[in-house]
Amino acid sequence: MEITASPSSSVPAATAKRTGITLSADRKLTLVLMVVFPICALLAPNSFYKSVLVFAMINAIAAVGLCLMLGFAGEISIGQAAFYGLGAYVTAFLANQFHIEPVLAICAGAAAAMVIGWGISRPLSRLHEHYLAMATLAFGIITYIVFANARPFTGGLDPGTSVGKFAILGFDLSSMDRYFWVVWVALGVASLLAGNVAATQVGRALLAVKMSAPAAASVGIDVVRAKAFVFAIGALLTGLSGGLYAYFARSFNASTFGIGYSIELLMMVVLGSLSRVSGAIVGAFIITILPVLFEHFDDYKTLVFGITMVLIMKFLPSGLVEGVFSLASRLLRRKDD
Amino acid sequence: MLSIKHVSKRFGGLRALSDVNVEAERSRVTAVIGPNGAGKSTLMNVVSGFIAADEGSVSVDGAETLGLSPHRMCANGVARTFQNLQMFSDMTTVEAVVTGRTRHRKASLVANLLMTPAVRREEEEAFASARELLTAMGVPESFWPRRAGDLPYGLQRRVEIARAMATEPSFLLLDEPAAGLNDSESAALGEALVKLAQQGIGVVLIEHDIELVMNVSSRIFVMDAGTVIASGSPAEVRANPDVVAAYLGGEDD
Repeated sequence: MEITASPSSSVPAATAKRTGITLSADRKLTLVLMVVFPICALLAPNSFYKSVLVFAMINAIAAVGLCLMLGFAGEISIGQAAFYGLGAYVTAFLANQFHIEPVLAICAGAAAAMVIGWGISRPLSRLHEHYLAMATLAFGIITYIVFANARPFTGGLDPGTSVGKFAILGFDLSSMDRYFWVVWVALGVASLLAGNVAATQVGRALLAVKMSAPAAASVGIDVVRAKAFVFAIGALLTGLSGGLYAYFARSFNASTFGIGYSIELLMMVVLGSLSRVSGAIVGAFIITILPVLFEHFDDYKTLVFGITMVLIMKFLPSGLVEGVFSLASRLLRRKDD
Repeated sequence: MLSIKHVSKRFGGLRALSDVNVEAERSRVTAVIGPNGAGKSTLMNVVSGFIAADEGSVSVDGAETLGLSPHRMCANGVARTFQNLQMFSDMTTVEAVVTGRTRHRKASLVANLLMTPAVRREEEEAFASARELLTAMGVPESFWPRRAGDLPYGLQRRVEIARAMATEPSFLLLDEPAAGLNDSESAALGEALVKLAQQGIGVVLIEHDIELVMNVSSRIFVMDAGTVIASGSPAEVRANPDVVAAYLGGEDD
């Protein structure tokens, strides 16, 4: 029996087919969601509901970023609003001061967030779990204070800042109908990228670091570099989301980028599924849309929202999407018997 | 040749290792034995880069490696398993072994993010070699798609060795691989280790199971209180009065 690895195959073909590169259930669900969003937009009774949908997709991009960090690499961050804000402010600043193409401004905002994300991962790389949670929380608070006080740059809490209309090469795409597709494309690219991380050795290395850092290091994974990568890509996607938000809101102030948003993002990821990209999208969809749907409960809105969250966490602790997947596989197995 | 020369390590006032000299050759099983607290695991952590030694030298095939971080040690051809199982529990068994191929993946990060055809090919090769390793380590095929953490303990031990082997090491360090195994499992493990050595790998075995050690090792180093008190062939070690007093004799009481 040969133990050294050479790709001569003494292995039956049936199992040889099962590799990590087939279209996973996660990818299929993500694809379905990418179709569901436009259908929802078509069915939306007015532009308010359409704008809620666009906001849900913007949040989904940030949630996908956090899903890679927390779900794959196990790196909790309660400071994501910082990257969101960085993306938004850098985008607005470049667009206002230098009148550059909105798309380029958004890309620059995302890149700036990525650089900061990579930078803070270094001092944080030795922290775990609640220590990391505290440190990222502190990072979020510090950046919030900076956003609120660096008024020449950000406009602070009052009057805040505003940007022009979103356009590509002078073609106006700022109406909610058109901007929907801009955000849709961005979410598609973000989830494709995250799906590729999940399907290749890049994602496997992140999972390895989460499950056992010593074992990951012993098979040649540079743990510090893997954490830096996931902070960078998490910040990149959250910054992208922030840049898109800038053109969505057109006018915003520092209060948008407080701890509240970081916690909302965390809820989206935990609610959907920690281990699936599609889970983050579902979570973002629910956390953005539920409060709007519960609007007619008036004063009880927060209460109903809270109870819904508690029920989901109680009965589907690994997230909605994970729960649906395990239910589906159980049903399929019963059919096979 | 893996050579450990004059390695010392102090934890506060405790001398965990003092002036330890151990050599392991390729194509041989070399064992390090000794009572609990003798410093065996510390030695292994120094060699695999998890603990920095205070002084001394560790070299792999002539290249000095002391002070390198664990993932660099892996790149230098030293793989290891852990005394307390360190499994990638939530991956499937085959993926856990594929992860061991990391060092041999050539595709860049960007190529991976774009999932180029080259990446797909590499991925398939990695899965093929992982399946071969699992076959060679005697992990039944029905377990391959299962969650690695759900496998019986003895099998997880083998998966861990398969994962270490996936890095294609020159030297494989095993920290008490027979702990928790029954007699027949332990004998099967011994056979597997001899087979690995026959392929040219230097197997370094830290083990309490004396029978296993005596059966498979060509050279044994006996440690006690942070120093090497004896070394030699199994027969020599068995006959050494110091060893009998410090270790083997103690067990017969």
